[in-house]
Amino acid sequence: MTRHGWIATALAVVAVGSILAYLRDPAWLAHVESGFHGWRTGPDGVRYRWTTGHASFFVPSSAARLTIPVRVTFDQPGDQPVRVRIAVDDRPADEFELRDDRWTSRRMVLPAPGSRQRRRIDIRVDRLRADNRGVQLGDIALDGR
Amino acid sequence: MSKRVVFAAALLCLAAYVFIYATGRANPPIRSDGYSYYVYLPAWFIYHDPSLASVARDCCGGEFPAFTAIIRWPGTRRWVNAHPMGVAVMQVPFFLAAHGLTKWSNLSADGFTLYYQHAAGIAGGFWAIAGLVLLRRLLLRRFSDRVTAAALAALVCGTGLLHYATYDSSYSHTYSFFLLAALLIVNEDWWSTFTKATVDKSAFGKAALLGLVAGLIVLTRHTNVLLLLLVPLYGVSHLGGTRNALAAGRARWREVAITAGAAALVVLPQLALYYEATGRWIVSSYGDLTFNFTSPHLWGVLFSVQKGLFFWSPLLLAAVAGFWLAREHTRPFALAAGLIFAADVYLIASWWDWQFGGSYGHRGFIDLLPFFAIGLAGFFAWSARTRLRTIVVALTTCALVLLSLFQMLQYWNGVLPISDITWEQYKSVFLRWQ
Repeated sequence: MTRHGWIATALAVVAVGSILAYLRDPAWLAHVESGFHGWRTGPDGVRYRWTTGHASFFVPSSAARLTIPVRVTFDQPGDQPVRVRIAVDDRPADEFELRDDRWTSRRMVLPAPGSRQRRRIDIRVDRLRADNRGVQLGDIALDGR
Repeated sequence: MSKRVVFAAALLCLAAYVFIYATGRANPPIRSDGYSYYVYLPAWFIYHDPSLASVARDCCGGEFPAFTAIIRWPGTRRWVNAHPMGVAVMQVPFFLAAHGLTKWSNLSADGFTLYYQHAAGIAGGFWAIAGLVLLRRLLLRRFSDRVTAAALAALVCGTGLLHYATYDSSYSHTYSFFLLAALLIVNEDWWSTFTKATVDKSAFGKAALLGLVAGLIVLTRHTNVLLLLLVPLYGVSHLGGTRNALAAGRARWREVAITAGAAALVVLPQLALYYEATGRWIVSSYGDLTFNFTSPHLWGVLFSVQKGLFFWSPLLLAAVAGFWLAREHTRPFALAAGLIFAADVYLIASWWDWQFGGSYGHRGFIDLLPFFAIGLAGFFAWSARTRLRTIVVALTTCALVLLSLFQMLQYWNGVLPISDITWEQYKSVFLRWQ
Protein backbone atom coordinates (compact mmCIF):
# COMPACT_ATOMS: atom_id res chain seq x y z
CA MET A 1 0.00 0.00 0.00
CA THR A 2 1.21 3.52 -0.76
CA ARG A 3 1.84 6.16 1.90
CA HIS A 4 -1.36 7.93 0.92
CA GLY A 5 -3.24 4.65 1.19
CA TRP A 6 -1.96 4.10 4.75
CA ILE A 7 -2.92 7.63 5.75
CA ALA A 8 -6.41 7.27 4.25
CA THR A 9 -6.89 3.92 6.03
CA ALA A 10 -5.72 5.36 9.33
CA LEU A 11 -8.05 8.34 8.98
CA ALA A 12 -10.95 6.03 8.15
CA VAL A 13 -10.22 3.86 11.22
CA VAL A 14 -10.04 6.94 13.45
CA ALA A 15 -13.29 8.32 11.98
CA VAL A 16 -15.19 5.03 12.39
CA GLY A 17 -13.76 4.59 15.90
CA SER A 18 -14.81 8.11 16.92
CA ILE A 19 -18.33 7.62 15.53
CA LEU A 20 -18.69 4.29 17.35
CA ALA A 21 -17.39 5.81 20.61
CA TYR A 22 -19.95 8.60 20.30
CA LEU A 23 -22.81 6.22 19.44
CA ARG A 24 -22.20 3.93 22.42
CA ASP A 25 -24.05 6.19 24.85
CA PRO A 26 -25.17 9.45 23.20
CA ALA A 27 -27.28 11.95 25.17
CA TRP A 28 -30.09 11.90 22.59
CA LEU A 29 -30.75 8.27 23.43
CA ALA A 30 -32.86 9.57 26.34
CA HIS A 31 -35.49 10.59 23.77
CA VAL A 32 -35.39 7.42 21.69
CA GLU A 33 -38.34 5.11 22.16
CA SER A 34 -40.29 2.64 20.08
CA GLY A 35 -43.59 0.79 20.15
CA PHE A 36 -45.84 3.60 21.40
CA HIS A 37 -48.98 5.23 20.04
CA GLY A 38 -49.54 8.96 20.70
CA TRP A 39 -50.31 10.53 24.10
CA ARG A 40 -54.00 10.79 25.10
CA THR A 41 -55.94 11.80 28.19
CA GLY A 42 -58.60 9.46 29.58
CA PRO A 43 -62.01 10.43 31.05
CA ASP A 44 -60.39 10.18 34.52
CA GLY A 45 -57.90 12.88 33.52
CA VAL A 46 -54.95 10.47 33.46
CA ARG A 47 -52.47 11.01 30.67
CA TYR A 48 -51.44 7.78 28.95
CA ARG A 49 -50.36 6.20 25.71
CA TRP A 50 -50.92 2.75 24.29
CA THR A 51 -47.97 0.47 23.69
CA THR A 52 -47.87 -1.94 20.79
CA GLY A 53 -46.82 -5.54 21.47
CA HIS A 54 -43.32 -4.42 22.46
CA ALA A 55 -42.39 -0.94 23.63
CA SER A 56 -39.02 0.32 24.78
CA PHE A 57 -37.66 3.54 26.23
CA PHE A 58 -34.67 4.79 28.21
CA VAL A 59 -34.36 6.15 31.76
CA PRO A 60 -31.32 7.77 33.43
CA SER A 61 -29.10 5.19 35.08
CA SER A 62 -28.89 7.48 38.12
CA ALA A 63 -32.48 6.46 39.00
CA ALA A 64 -32.79 3.87 41.80
CA ARG A 65 -36.50 3.11 41.52
CA LEU A 66 -39.03 3.20 38.74
CA THR A 67 -42.83 3.38 38.95
CA ILE A 68 -44.86 2.50 35.87
CA PRO A 69 -48.65 3.09 35.89
CA VAL A 70 -50.22 0.50 33.63
CA ARG A 71 -53.76 -0.45 32.62
CA VAL A 72 -55.66 -2.31 29.93
CA THR A 73 -59.24 -2.02 28.69
CA PHE A 74 -61.87 -4.72 28.28
CA ASP A 75 -64.07 -3.16 25.59
CA GLN A 76 -64.97 -6.29 23.64
CA PRO A 77 -66.82 -9.31 25.07
CA GLY A 78 -63.95 -11.68 24.23
CA ASP A 79 -61.14 -9.55 25.67
CA GLN A 80 -58.77 -11.70 27.74
CA PRO A 81 -56.46 -10.63 30.61
CA VAL A 82 -53.08 -9.41 29.39
CA ARG A 83 -49.75 -10.66 30.72
CA VAL A 84 -47.07 -7.98 30.87
CA ARG A 85 -43.31 -8.54 31.09
CA ILE A 86 -40.88 -5.74 31.94
CA ALA A 87 -37.13 -6.00 31.39
CA VAL A 88 -34.28 -3.66 32.31
CA ASP A 89 -31.37 -3.84 29.85
CA ASP A 90 -32.71 -7.23 28.68
CA ARG A 91 -32.84 -8.64 32.26
CA PRO A 92 -36.35 -9.68 33.44
CA ALA A 93 -37.54 -7.20 36.12
CA ASP A 94 -41.27 -7.80 36.55
CA GLU A 95 -44.09 -9.94 35.20
CA PHE A 96 -47.79 -9.64 36.00
CA GLU A 97 -51.27 -10.04 34.59
CA LEU A 98 -53.89 -7.30 34.14
CA ARG A 99 -57.28 -8.86 34.88
CA ASP A 100 -59.42 -5.70 35.12
CA ASP A 101 -59.37 -2.16 33.76
CA ARG A 102 -58.04 -0.41 36.90
CA TRP A 103 -54.72 1.44 36.88
CA THR A 104 -51.90 -0.55 38.51
CA SER A 105 -48.63 1.02 39.61
CA ARG A 106 -45.66 -1.32 39.22
CA ARG A 107 -42.64 -0.30 41.29
CA MET A 108 -39.27 -1.81 40.68
CA VAL A 109 -35.80 -1.31 42.07
CA LEU A 110 -33.25 -0.71 39.37
CA PRO A 111 -29.90 -2.48 39.59
CA ALA A 112 -26.72 -0.48 40.23
CA PRO A 113 -25.73 1.68 37.26
CA GLY A 114 -23.24 0.24 34.81
CA SER A 115 -20.98 2.14 32.45
CA ARG A 116 -23.81 3.77 30.50
CA GLN A 117 -25.71 6.97 31.29
CA ARG A 118 -29.05 5.42 30.40
CA ARG A 119 -30.73 2.06 30.79
CA ARG A 120 -33.33 0.54 28.57
CA ILE A 121 -36.76 -0.55 29.74
CA ASP A 122 -38.67 -3.02 27.55
CA ILE A 123 -42.38 -3.77 28.00
CA ARG A 124 -43.88 -6.77 26.25
CA VAL A 125 -47.47 -8.04 26.27
CA ASP A 126 -48.79 -11.47 25.36
CA ARG A 127 -51.83 -10.26 23.39
CA LEU A 128 -53.06 -7.14 21.64
CA ARG A 129 -56.33 -5.25 21.59
CA ALA A 130 -57.66 -4.05 18.22
CA ASP A 131 -55.58 -1.54 16.23
CA ASN A 132 -52.25 -2.88 17.43
CA ARG A 133 -52.76 -1.73 21.06
CA GLY A 134 -51.01 -3.50 23.95
CA VAL A 135 -51.43 -1.76 27.33
CA GLN A 136 -51.88 1.84 28.45
CA LEU A 137 -48.84 3.37 30.12
CA GLY A 138 -49.11 6.53 32.27
CA ASP A 139 -46.30 8.94 33.14
CA ILE A 140 -43.26 7.07 34.46
CA ALA A 141 -41.96 8.20 37.89
CA LEU A 142 -38.27 7.92 38.83
CA ASP A 143 -36.58 8.14 42.24
CA GLY A 144 -32.91 9.02 42.47
CA ARG A 145 -30.24 7.03 44.23
CA MET B 1 -21.74 14.75 -17.21
CA SER B 2 -23.98 11.70 -16.68
CA LYS B 3 -21.70 10.55 -13.87
CA ARG B 4 -22.30 13.87 -12.12
CA VAL B 5 -26.05 13.44 -12.57
CA VAL B 6 -25.92 10.08 -10.78
CA PHE B 7 -23.83 11.61 -7.99
CA ALA B 8 -26.24 14.54 -7.71
CA ALA B 9 -29.18 12.10 -7.63
CA ALA B 10 -27.55 10.28 -4.71
CA LEU B 11 -27.09 13.57 -2.82
CA LEU B 12 -30.66 14.61 -3.64
CA CYS B 13 -32.02 11.28 -2.34
CA LEU B 14 -30.02 11.62 0.87
CA ALA B 15 -31.11 15.23 1.41
CA ALA B 16 -34.76 14.39 0.70
CA TYR B 17 -34.60 11.39 3.05
CA VAL B 18 -33.17 13.49 5.89
CA PHE B 19 -35.76 16.22 5.21
CA ILE B 20 -38.68 13.73 5.31
CA TYR B 21 -37.70 12.07 8.58
CA ALA B 22 -36.17 15.09 10.34
CA THR B 23 -39.37 17.07 9.79
CA GLY B 24 -41.71 14.20 10.69
CA ARG B 25 -43.36 14.08 7.28
CA ALA B 26 -43.50 10.30 7.36
CA ASN B 27 -43.75 7.60 10.02
CA PRO B 28 -40.66 5.39 10.49
CA PRO B 29 -39.73 3.62 7.23
CA ILE B 30 -40.73 0.05 8.18
CA ARG B 31 -44.47 0.55 7.70
CA SER B 32 -47.33 -0.73 5.56
CA ASP B 33 -45.98 -3.02 2.77
CA GLY B 34 -42.47 -2.15 3.89
CA TYR B 35 -43.13 -4.10 7.09
CA SER B 36 -43.94 -7.37 5.40
CA TYR B 37 -41.08 -7.09 2.90
CA TYR B 38 -38.66 -6.52 5.79
CA VAL B 39 -40.02 -8.84 8.50
CA TYR B 40 -38.00 -11.84 7.25
CA LEU B 41 -34.78 -10.24 8.53
CA PRO B 42 -35.57 -10.17 12.27
CA ALA B 43 -37.13 -13.62 11.83
CA TRP B 44 -33.89 -15.02 10.36
CA PHE B 45 -31.17 -13.16 12.22
CA ILE B 46 -32.66 -12.30 15.62
CA TYR B 47 -35.32 -14.90 16.38
CA HIS B 48 -33.87 -17.70 14.21
CA ASP B 49 -37.42 -18.69 13.32
CA PRO B 50 -38.33 -18.37 9.61
CA SER B 51 -41.96 -19.22 10.38
CA LEU B 52 -42.41 -15.61 11.64
CA ALA B 53 -44.16 -16.88 14.79
CA SER B 54 -41.44 -15.56 17.12
CA VAL B 55 -41.55 -12.10 15.54
CA ALA B 56 -45.33 -12.10 15.97
CA ARG B 57 -44.95 -13.00 19.65
CA ASP B 58 -42.43 -10.23 20.30
CA CYS B 59 -43.80 -7.41 18.19
CA CYS B 60 -47.50 -8.03 18.27
CA GLY B 61 -48.66 -10.18 21.15
CA GLY B 62 -48.69 -13.30 18.97
CA GLU B 63 -50.88 -12.04 16.12
CA PHE B 64 -49.74 -9.83 13.25
CA PRO B 65 -52.05 -6.81 12.82
CA ALA B 66 -54.08 -6.63 9.59
CA PHE B 67 -51.92 -3.88 8.04
CA THR B 68 -48.98 -6.26 7.80
CA ALA B 69 -50.70 -8.45 5.16
CA ILE B 70 -49.31 -11.50 6.96
CA ILE B 71 -52.11 -14.03 7.33
CA ARG B 72 -52.63 -17.32 9.12
CA TRP B 73 -53.02 -20.00 6.44
CA PRO B 74 -56.36 -21.79 6.81
CA GLY B 75 -55.76 -25.37 7.86
CA THR B 76 -52.17 -25.11 9.06
CA ARG B 77 -52.61 -21.86 11.08
CA ARG B 78 -49.02 -20.97 10.12
CA TRP B 79 -48.04 -17.48 8.97
CA VAL B 80 -47.93 -16.68 5.24
CA ASN B 81 -46.49 -13.34 4.20
CA ALA B 82 -48.17 -11.66 1.22
CA HIS B 83 -44.79 -10.32 0.17
CA PRO B 84 -41.85 -12.49 -0.82
CA MET B 85 -38.33 -12.36 0.61
CA GLY B 86 -36.34 -10.69 -2.19
CA VAL B 87 -36.35 -7.21 -0.66
CA ALA B 88 -35.18 -8.65 2.66
CA VAL B 89 -32.34 -10.51 0.92
CA MET B 90 -31.17 -7.25 -0.65
CA GLN B 91 -31.44 -5.47 2.72
CA VAL B 92 -29.19 -7.97 4.53
CA PRO B 93 -25.97 -5.86 4.60
CA PHE B 94 -27.88 -2.83 5.85
CA PHE B 95 -29.71 -4.89 8.46
CA LEU B 96 -26.51 -6.48 9.80
CA ALA B 97 -24.86 -3.06 10.14
CA ALA B 98 -27.94 -1.77 11.97
CA HIS B 99 -28.01 -4.85 14.22
CA GLY B 100 -24.38 -4.33 15.24
CA LEU B 101 -24.97 -0.66 15.92
CA THR B 102 -28.14 -1.43 17.89
CA LYS B 103 -26.30 -3.85 20.17
CA TRP B 104 -23.45 -1.39 20.56
CA SER B 105 -25.82 1.46 21.53
CA ASN B 106 -27.97 -0.70 23.86
CA LEU B 107 -31.12 -0.08 21.82
CA SER B 108 -33.68 -2.85 21.81
CA ALA B 109 -32.42 -5.47 19.33
CA ASP B 110 -35.90 -6.51 18.23
CA GLY B 111 -35.50 -5.59 14.58
CA PHE B 112 -37.70 -2.50 14.64
CA THR B 113 -35.89 0.20 16.63
CA LEU B 114 -34.15 3.30 15.30
CA TYR B 115 -31.17 1.89 13.36
CA TYR B 116 -33.16 -0.97 11.81
CA GLN B 117 -35.77 1.53 10.62
CA HIS B 118 -33.29 3.74 8.83
CA ALA B 119 -31.24 0.84 7.54
CA ALA B 120 -34.37 -0.37 5.73
CA GLY B 121 -35.16 3.19 4.58
CA ILE B 122 -31.67 3.93 3.27
CA ALA B 123 -31.40 0.53 1.56
CA GLY B 124 -34.26 1.45 -0.80
CA GLY B 125 -32.49 4.65 -1.81
CA PHE B 126 -29.21 2.79 -2.25
CA TRP B 127 -30.72 0.32 -4.72
CA ALA B 128 -32.38 3.16 -6.64
CA ILE B 129 -28.99 4.81 -7.11
CA ALA B 130 -27.39 1.46 -7.96
CA GLY B 131 -30.09 1.09 -10.64
CA LEU B 132 -29.19 4.51 -12.03
CA VAL B 133 -25.51 3.49 -12.21
CA LEU B 134 -26.43 0.45 -14.29
CA LEU B 135 -28.87 2.41 -16.46
CA ARG B 136 -26.15 4.94 -17.17
CA ARG B 137 -23.90 2.14 -18.40
CA LEU B 138 -26.68 0.78 -20.61
CA LEU B 139 -27.63 4.14 -22.09
CA LEU B 140 -24.03 5.12 -22.81
CA ARG B 141 -23.81 2.09 -25.12
CA ARG B 142 -26.33 3.81 -27.44
CA PHE B 143 -26.57 7.51 -26.59
CA SER B 144 -24.26 10.44 -25.98
CA ASP B 145 -23.21 11.42 -22.47
CA ARG B 146 -25.43 14.54 -22.58
CA VAL B 147 -28.51 12.60 -23.69
CA THR B 148 -27.83 9.97 -20.99
CA ALA B 149 -27.46 12.68 -18.37
CA ALA B 150 -30.72 14.35 -19.42
CA ALA B 151 -32.62 11.04 -19.43
CA LEU B 152 -31.38 10.06 -15.96
CA ALA B 153 -32.08 13.50 -14.48
CA ALA B 154 -35.58 13.52 -15.97
CA LEU B 155 -36.22 10.01 -14.69
CA VAL B 156 -35.26 10.91 -11.11
CA CYS B 157 -37.07 14.24 -10.90
CA GLY B 158 -39.90 13.86 -13.42
CA THR B 159 -41.35 10.53 -12.22
CA GLY B 160 -42.15 8.94 -8.87
CA LEU B 161 -38.64 7.42 -8.58
CA LEU B 162 -37.40 10.05 -6.10
CA HIS B 163 -40.46 9.48 -3.91
CA TYR B 164 -39.97 5.71 -3.82
CA ALA B 165 -36.24 6.14 -3.16
CA THR B 166 -36.94 8.29 -0.09
CA TYR B 167 -40.46 8.62 1.35
CA ASP B 168 -41.65 5.08 0.61
CA SER B 169 -38.22 3.52 0.22
CA SER B 170 -38.99 0.37 2.19
CA TYR B 171 -41.40 -0.80 -0.53
CA SER B 172 -40.16 -3.18 -3.22
CA HIS B 173 -40.21 -0.76 -6.15
CA THR B 174 -36.67 0.60 -6.15
CA TYR B 175 -35.38 -2.94 -5.67
CA SER B 176 -37.28 -4.05 -8.76
CA PHE B 177 -36.08 -0.91 -10.56
CA PHE B 178 -32.48 -1.93 -9.86
CA LEU B 179 -33.11 -5.54 -10.83
CA LEU B 180 -34.68 -4.61 -14.19
CA ALA B 181 -31.73 -2.32 -14.92
CA ALA B 182 -29.43 -5.23 -14.02
CA LEU B 183 -31.44 -7.60 -16.23
CA LEU B 184 -31.16 -5.21 -19.18
CA ILE B 185 -27.37 -5.06 -18.86
CA VAL B 186 -26.70 -8.69 -18.01
CA ASN B 187 -29.11 -9.97 -20.67
CA GLU B 188 -27.49 -7.81 -23.35
CA ASP B 189 -24.05 -9.02 -22.27
CA TRP B 190 -25.21 -12.62 -22.41
CA TRP B 191 -26.75 -12.26 -25.85
CA SER B 192 -23.61 -10.54 -27.08
CA THR B 193 -21.73 -13.81 -26.56
CA PHE B 194 -24.05 -15.40 -29.16
CA THR B 195 -22.55 -13.42 -31.98
CA LYS B 196 -19.13 -14.92 -31.42
CA ALA B 197 -18.21 -17.92 -33.51
CA THR B 198 -17.12 -19.91 -30.46
CA VAL B 199 -18.53 -19.86 -26.97
CA ASP B 200 -15.99 -18.62 -24.42
CA LYS B 201 -16.03 -19.58 -20.76
CA SER B 202 -17.34 -16.17 -19.75
CA ALA B 203 -20.66 -17.07 -21.42
CA PHE B 204 -21.33 -19.59 -18.64
CA GLY B 205 -20.57 -17.00 -15.96
CA LYS B 206 -22.86 -14.53 -17.68
CA ALA B 207 -25.57 -17.18 -17.91
CA ALA B 208 -25.29 -17.84 -14.15
CA LEU B 209 -25.42 -14.10 -13.42
CA LEU B 210 -28.48 -13.78 -15.63
CA GLY B 211 -30.13 -16.60 -13.65
CA LEU B 212 -29.24 -14.90 -10.36
CA VAL B 213 -30.83 -11.61 -11.47
CA ALA B 214 -33.86 -13.40 -12.93
CA GLY B 215 -34.35 -15.34 -9.69
CA LEU B 216 -34.06 -12.21 -7.58
CA ILE B 217 -36.64 -10.46 -9.76
CA VAL B 218 -39.18 -13.19 -9.04
CA LEU B 219 -38.11 -13.35 -5.39
CA THR B 220 -38.72 -9.62 -5.00
CA ARG B 221 -42.14 -9.43 -6.63
CA HIS B 222 -43.73 -12.56 -8.05
CA THR B 223 -45.73 -10.81 -10.77
CA ASN B 224 -42.49 -9.37 -12.13
CA VAL B 225 -41.86 -12.78 -13.62
CA LEU B 226 -43.23 -10.95 -16.66
CA LEU B 227 -39.96 -9.03 -16.90
CA LEU B 228 -38.20 -12.26 -17.82
CA LEU B 229 -39.85 -12.08 -21.25
CA LEU B 230 -36.99 -9.68 -21.96
CA VAL B 231 -34.55 -12.61 -22.08
CA PRO B 232 -35.98 -14.40 -25.15
CA LEU B 233 -37.29 -11.20 -26.76
CA TYR B 234 -34.08 -9.17 -26.65
CA GLY B 235 -33.16 -8.09 -30.15
CA VAL B 236 -36.43 -9.38 -31.60
CA SER B 237 -38.03 -6.58 -33.58
CA HIS B 238 -41.08 -8.45 -34.86
CA LEU B 239 -43.06 -11.42 -33.62
CA GLY B 240 -41.72 -13.70 -36.37
CA GLY B 241 -38.25 -13.13 -34.97
CA THR B 242 -39.06 -15.13 -31.85
CA ARG B 243 -38.38 -18.30 -33.86
CA ASN B 244 -34.76 -17.23 -34.33
CA ALA B 245 -34.51 -16.51 -30.60
CA LEU B 246 -35.85 -19.97 -29.75
CA ALA B 247 -33.46 -21.59 -32.21
CA ALA B 248 -30.57 -19.69 -30.64
CA GLY B 249 -31.70 -20.85 -27.21
CA ARG B 250 -31.83 -24.46 -28.39
CA ALA B 251 -28.36 -24.21 -29.88
CA ARG B 252 -26.92 -23.12 -26.52
CA TRP B 253 -29.04 -25.18 -24.22
CA ARG B 254 -26.25 -25.63 -21.68
CA GLU B 255 -26.17 -21.92 -20.91
CA VAL B 256 -29.95 -21.78 -20.84
CA ALA B 257 -29.91 -24.66 -18.34
CA ILE B 258 -27.36 -22.81 -16.19
CA THR B 259 -29.54 -19.69 -16.22
CA ALA B 260 -32.66 -21.65 -15.35
CA GLY B 261 -30.83 -23.60 -12.63
CA ALA B 262 -29.41 -20.46 -11.01
CA ALA B 263 -32.82 -18.77 -11.08
CA ALA B 264 -34.47 -21.86 -9.57
CA LEU B 265 -31.87 -21.99 -6.77
CA VAL B 266 -32.57 -18.36 -5.88
CA VAL B 267 -36.35 -18.87 -5.80
CA LEU B 268 -36.21 -22.24 -3.97
CA PRO B 269 -36.06 -20.86 -0.38
CA GLN B 270 -39.28 -18.93 -0.98
CA LEU B 271 -41.03 -22.03 -2.32
CA ALA B 272 -39.76 -24.05 0.65
CA LEU B 273 -41.18 -21.41 2.99
CA TYR B 274 -44.56 -21.62 1.28
CA TYR B 275 -44.45 -25.41 1.48
CA GLU B 276 -43.56 -25.35 5.18
CA ALA B 277 -46.44 -22.97 5.94
CA THR B 278 -49.16 -24.33 3.66
CA GLY B 279 -48.17 -27.78 2.39
CA ARG B 280 -48.04 -26.34 -1.15
CA TRP B 281 -45.07 -25.15 -3.17
CA ILE B 282 -46.95 -22.37 -4.94
CA VAL B 283 -49.63 -20.35 -3.17
CA SER B 284 -51.59 -17.14 -3.61
CA SER B 285 -50.00 -15.36 -0.68
CA TYR B 286 -52.60 -12.58 -0.71
CA GLY B 287 -55.29 -15.00 0.48
CA ASP B 288 -58.73 -13.88 -0.72
CA LEU B 289 -57.45 -10.69 -2.39
CA THR B 290 -57.20 -11.39 -6.10
CA PHE B 291 -57.41 -10.23 -9.74
CA ASN B 292 -60.53 -9.39 -11.69
CA PHE B 293 -59.38 -10.06 -15.25
CA THR B 294 -62.76 -9.42 -16.82
CA SER B 295 -63.01 -5.73 -15.89
CA PRO B 296 -59.54 -4.18 -15.78
CA HIS B 297 -59.24 -0.46 -14.93
CA LEU B 298 -57.07 0.30 -17.96
CA TRP B 299 -57.98 3.98 -18.16
CA GLY B 300 -57.57 4.28 -14.41
CA VAL B 301 -54.00 2.99 -14.26
CA LEU B 302 -52.85 4.88 -17.36
CA PHE B 303 -54.60 8.25 -17.43
CA SER B 304 -56.93 8.81 -14.46
CA VAL B 305 -56.47 11.56 -11.91
CA GLN B 306 -56.53 8.91 -9.15
CA LYS B 307 -53.33 7.11 -10.06
CA GLY B 308 -52.88 7.33 -13.85
CA LEU B 309 -49.26 6.68 -14.81
CA PHE B 310 -49.19 9.33 -17.52
CA PHE B 311 -51.31 11.79 -15.52
CA TRP B 312 -48.81 11.88 -12.64
CA SER B 313 -45.69 11.38 -14.78
CA PRO B 314 -46.57 12.96 -18.16
CA LEU B 315 -42.90 12.95 -19.10
CA LEU B 316 -43.22 9.22 -19.66
CA LEU B 317 -45.36 9.89 -22.76
CA ALA B 318 -42.19 11.29 -24.30
CA ALA B 319 -40.48 8.01 -23.41
CA VAL B 320 -43.15 6.05 -25.29
CA ALA B 321 -42.68 8.33 -28.32
CA GLY B 322 -38.90 7.99 -27.97
CA PHE B 323 -39.04 4.25 -28.61
CA TRP B 324 -40.43 5.00 -32.09
CA LEU B 325 -38.59 8.23 -32.88
CA ALA B 326 -35.16 6.78 -32.08
CA ARG B 327 -35.91 3.22 -33.16
CA GLU B 328 -32.42 2.75 -34.55
CA HIS B 329 -31.21 2.88 -30.91
CA THR B 330 -34.15 1.33 -29.09
CA ARG B 331 -34.95 -1.56 -31.46
CA PRO B 332 -33.37 -4.40 -29.40
CA PHE B 333 -35.67 -3.59 -26.48
CA ALA B 334 -38.78 -2.22 -28.17
CA LEU B 335 -40.84 -5.37 -28.64
CA ALA B 336 -39.98 -6.79 -25.21
CA ALA B 337 -40.65 -3.45 -23.49
CA GLY B 338 -43.96 -3.02 -25.32
CA LEU B 339 -45.23 -6.53 -24.54
CA ILE B 340 -44.10 -6.44 -20.92
CA PHE B 341 -45.63 -2.99 -20.42
CA ALA B 342 -48.95 -4.09 -21.98
CA ALA B 343 -49.07 -7.24 -19.86
CA ASP B 344 -48.17 -5.32 -16.71
CA VAL B 345 -50.82 -2.68 -17.38
CA TYR B 346 -53.43 -5.42 -17.75
CA LEU B 347 -52.24 -7.19 -14.61
CA ILE B 348 -52.13 -4.05 -12.47
CA ALA B 349 -55.47 -2.82 -13.84
CA SER B 350 -57.04 -6.17 -12.93
CA TRP B 351 -55.86 -6.19 -9.30
CA TRP B 352 -58.74 -5.69 -6.85
CA ASP B 353 -57.05 -2.49 -5.58
CA TRP B 354 -55.81 -1.15 -8.92
CA GLN B 355 -54.61 2.07 -7.21
CA PHE B 356 -52.23 0.00 -5.02
CA GLY B 357 -53.43 1.75 -1.85
CA GLY B 358 -52.00 5.03 -0.59
CA SER B 359 -49.18 6.08 -2.87
CA TYR B 360 -47.75 8.92 -4.95
CA GLY B 361 -48.57 8.34 -8.62
CA HIS B 362 -48.91 4.70 -9.64
CA ARG B 363 -46.21 2.84 -7.76
CA GLY B 364 -46.75 -0.36 -9.73
CA PHE B 365 -44.90 1.13 -12.71
CA ILE B 366 -41.78 2.28 -10.85
CA ASP B 367 -40.42 -1.22 -11.50
CA LEU B 368 -40.58 -0.57 -15.28
CA LEU B 369 -38.79 2.80 -15.26
CA PRO B 370 -35.57 1.35 -16.76
CA PHE B 371 -37.56 0.68 -19.95
CA PHE B 372 -38.87 4.23 -19.88
CA ALA B 373 -35.30 5.52 -19.41
CA ILE B 374 -34.38 3.99 -22.77
CA GLY B 375 -37.39 5.64 -24.40
CA LEU B 376 -36.62 8.98 -22.74
CA ALA B 377 -33.03 8.87 -23.95
CA GLY B 378 -34.35 8.06 -27.42
CA PHE B 379 -36.69 11.03 -27.28
CA PHE B 380 -33.92 13.38 -26.13
CA ALA B 381 -31.58 12.04 -28.84
CA TRP B 382 -34.29 12.72 -31.44
CA SER B 383 -34.95 16.19 -30.05
CA ALA B 384 -31.24 17.04 -30.17
CA ARG B 385 -31.23 16.78 -33.97
CA THR B 386 -32.46 20.36 -34.46
CA ARG B 387 -31.96 23.47 -32.35
CA LEU B 388 -35.65 24.36 -32.23
CA ARG B 389 -36.66 20.89 -31.03
CA THR B 390 -33.94 20.99 -28.40
CA ILE B 391 -35.22 24.26 -26.98
CA VAL B 392 -38.90 23.24 -27.02
CA VAL B 393 -38.22 19.82 -25.49
CA ALA B 394 -35.86 21.26 -22.86
CA LEU B 395 -38.39 23.87 -21.76
CA THR B 396 -41.29 21.38 -21.70
CA THR B 397 -39.21 18.83 -19.79
CA CYS B 398 -38.18 21.43 -17.20
CA ALA B 399 -41.82 22.46 -16.71
CA LEU B 400 -42.97 18.83 -16.29
CA VAL B 401 -40.10 18.07 -13.90
CA LEU B 402 -40.98 21.10 -11.77
CA LEU B 403 -44.65 20.09 -11.75
CA SER B 404 -43.74 16.55 -10.73
CA LEU B 405 -41.43 17.72 -7.93
CA PHE B 406 -44.02 20.19 -6.69
CA GLN B 407 -46.76 17.55 -6.62
CA MET B 408 -44.46 15.18 -4.78
CA LEU B 409 -43.86 17.85 -2.13
CA GLN B 410 -47.64 18.38 -1.96
CA TYR B 411 -48.01 14.67 -1.25
CA TRP B 412 -45.35 14.81 1.46
CA ASN B 413 -47.09 17.81 3.02
CA GLY B 414 -50.42 16.00 3.07
CA VAL B 415 -51.98 18.42 0.56
CA LEU B 416 -52.69 15.63 -1.93
CA PRO B 417 -54.85 12.72 -0.71
CA ILE B 418 -52.99 9.41 -0.64
CA SER B 419 -55.60 7.70 -2.86
CA ASP B 420 -58.99 8.14 -4.54
CA ILE B 421 -58.31 11.78 -5.44
CA THR B 422 -61.04 13.32 -7.61
CA TRP B 423 -60.62 15.84 -10.43
CA GLU B 424 -62.35 18.47 -8.27
CA GLN B 425 -59.91 17.83 -5.41
CA TYR B 426 -56.95 17.94 -7.79
CA LYS B 427 -58.06 21.27 -9.25
CA SER B 428 -58.69 22.76 -5.82
CA VAL B 429 -55.11 22.08 -4.62
CA PHE B 430 -53.31 22.54 -7.95
CA LEU B 431 -50.01 24.41 -7.30
CA ARG B 432 -51.00 25.09 -3.68
CA TRP B 433 -48.79 24.41 -0.69
CA GLN B 434 -51.60 24.14 1.85
